[in-house]
Amino acid sequence: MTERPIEKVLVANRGEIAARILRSLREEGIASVAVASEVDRDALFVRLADEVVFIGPAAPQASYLSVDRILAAAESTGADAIHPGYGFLAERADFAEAVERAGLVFIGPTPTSIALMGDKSRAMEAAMEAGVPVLPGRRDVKDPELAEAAKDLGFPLLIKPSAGGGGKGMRRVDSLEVLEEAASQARREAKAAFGDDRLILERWVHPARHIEVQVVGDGRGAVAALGERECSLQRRHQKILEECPSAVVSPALRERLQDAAVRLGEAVKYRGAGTVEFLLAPDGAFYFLEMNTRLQVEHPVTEMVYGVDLVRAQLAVARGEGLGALLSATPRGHAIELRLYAEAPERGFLPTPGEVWRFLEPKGPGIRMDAALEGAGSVPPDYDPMVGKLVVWGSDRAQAVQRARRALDETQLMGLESNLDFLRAILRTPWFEGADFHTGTVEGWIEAGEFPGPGAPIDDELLILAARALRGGGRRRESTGPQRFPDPFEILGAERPMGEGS
Amino acid sequence: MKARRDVLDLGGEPVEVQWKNDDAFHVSGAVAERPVAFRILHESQGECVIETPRGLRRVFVEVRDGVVEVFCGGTSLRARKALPTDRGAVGDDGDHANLVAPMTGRVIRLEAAVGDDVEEGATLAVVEAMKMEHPLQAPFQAVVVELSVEEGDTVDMGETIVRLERRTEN
Repeated sequence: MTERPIEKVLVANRGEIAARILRSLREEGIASVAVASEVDRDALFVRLADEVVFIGPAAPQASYLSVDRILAAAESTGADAIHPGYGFLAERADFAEAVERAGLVFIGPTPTSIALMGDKSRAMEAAMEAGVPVLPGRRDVKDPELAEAAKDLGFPLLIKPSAGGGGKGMRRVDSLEVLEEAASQARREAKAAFGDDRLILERWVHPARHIEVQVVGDGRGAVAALGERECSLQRRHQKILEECPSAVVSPALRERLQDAAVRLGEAVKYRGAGTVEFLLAPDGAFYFLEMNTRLQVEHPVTEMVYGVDLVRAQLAVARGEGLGALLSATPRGHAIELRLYAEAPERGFLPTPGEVWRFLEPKGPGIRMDAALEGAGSVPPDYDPMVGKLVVWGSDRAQAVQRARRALDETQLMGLESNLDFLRAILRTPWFEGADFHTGTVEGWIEAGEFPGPGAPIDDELLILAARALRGGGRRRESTGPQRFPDPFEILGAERPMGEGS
Repeated sequence: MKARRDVLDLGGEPVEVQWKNDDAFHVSGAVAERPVAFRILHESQGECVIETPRGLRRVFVEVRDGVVEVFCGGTSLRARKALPTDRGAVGDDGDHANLVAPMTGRVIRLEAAVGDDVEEGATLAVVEAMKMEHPLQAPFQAVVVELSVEEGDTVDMGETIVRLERRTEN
């Protein structure tokens, strides 16, 4: 691959990740194009771009998932590359292919890598060939083979779609009696979600941790590994809080995890940023789960600990440059990311899109906020209700935890219900403080009814301030208007100190 | 300044709050009969700093559509004035009252006209919301000074429907 310049990048995404990518483009002096649906007209990411193309109505199919409209926007603006962010079209091999066919650079892996890793069975084969440990299991099991395969593995076991990812259609099976029913349900779900009903049977490892390794490949066979992320705190396979490094990964284990991830990346000549996910068993054994061929939501914790900018690394690889300093990046300190959502944990995590009257952001040392809005804004009902990610860095885990608590106490989304109290409660649990958790901990905690728990007492002063505000008492924000300072020239009189025309 | 008496609906038990601003900076009163007093050190743009016996508190306050949200260092509350059918909710300073829509809905009946003398407890309007009728009643003997809507109008939660002024007996 020869070096090719990138002068203008179209960001085919929205929300916090579009804003985050646009900021790196600005730093590099690369011109940027945002694409936005009608409901995102006033979104922060639109304001951070050099150009914007409104590509359609709110429905993702007609805007952020429309390959034709995105390519047309790239053509009309003269963009020479497309960054897909995460979600939407990021892991669609046909999109990457269409981008390249249009003569543009796809800032991501090759369509071949995306397709390979998108198919769990083939990805697992690739992992095995590369000498990466995989869970004992059977791929593409036919119905008549189910019982025998299950008996070989033992119960409980896990059924998951070959084609899928993100926990969709995944289910635990505890006995032979329910196996057939579980398999047919899983096939239906897999067919509906991925148009492919092949299934994988796998040993159920419990309690397990979800550990993933960040890699960046140059597309020519060189791959850098940037440590692991601890992503075990999940609810329904949706991550809630991530850390870098993991408190339970020793330097020796890190070496082995990184080696495994690099071997897989090298075997497929991986290009760009990717994540190799592993299940870590209590005995320290780890197994390949899947490889995500995109920038992850939780990439900032790696950036803070390794002192890198993964979007800029993606750009460098896309230009045909090497991995440079990534190969020698070393970890420093500890980072924690908390995902802020417009949702109501008290009501089954129902999304609560709407207007944010006021977004109070934490400030101070070691704080990074990657958010979809600034000051105020809205969370449209049409997309994932994530508002942003609060990322903190500390010199060690204890300091990072203290900082996360402080930063979260400064944070508020006024105007809509959010998961802030839920996150605050997690940070107060002994299992979080002691890093003693696994992928089922949060759900078990919720089921045990330990959240929301008794709310913090509300100071009486706050109730009086509430009553006073309802009466329009105090100085109201709306009526205050911009603060006016006296014009220094008025104070000095008509005569300008520097004379006319200065 | 006269003492105010409000009943706040925090999504559970109503809480009675009495308070007055002795001057621009001193607030005193009671919450559910617990006495409270504090000083306001700073107030602007929806943010204030108050001095309490437990130290300084930085408080953010926002009001929209009859709902107030207060945030203070990791704890927050949402409240609105308690339902107008709860007598205490609508007494303004004791001489005026605004009957407001308890929920977003439709005014299905207006049972008073501007200028009417009404008795305490008289139903003046009925709002239908969530398939339930919510009567709005006079909290004291009063004169209707304003009707802000017509029958059939849709109203937002907290929107004023009837304004009353206390009728003084001669």
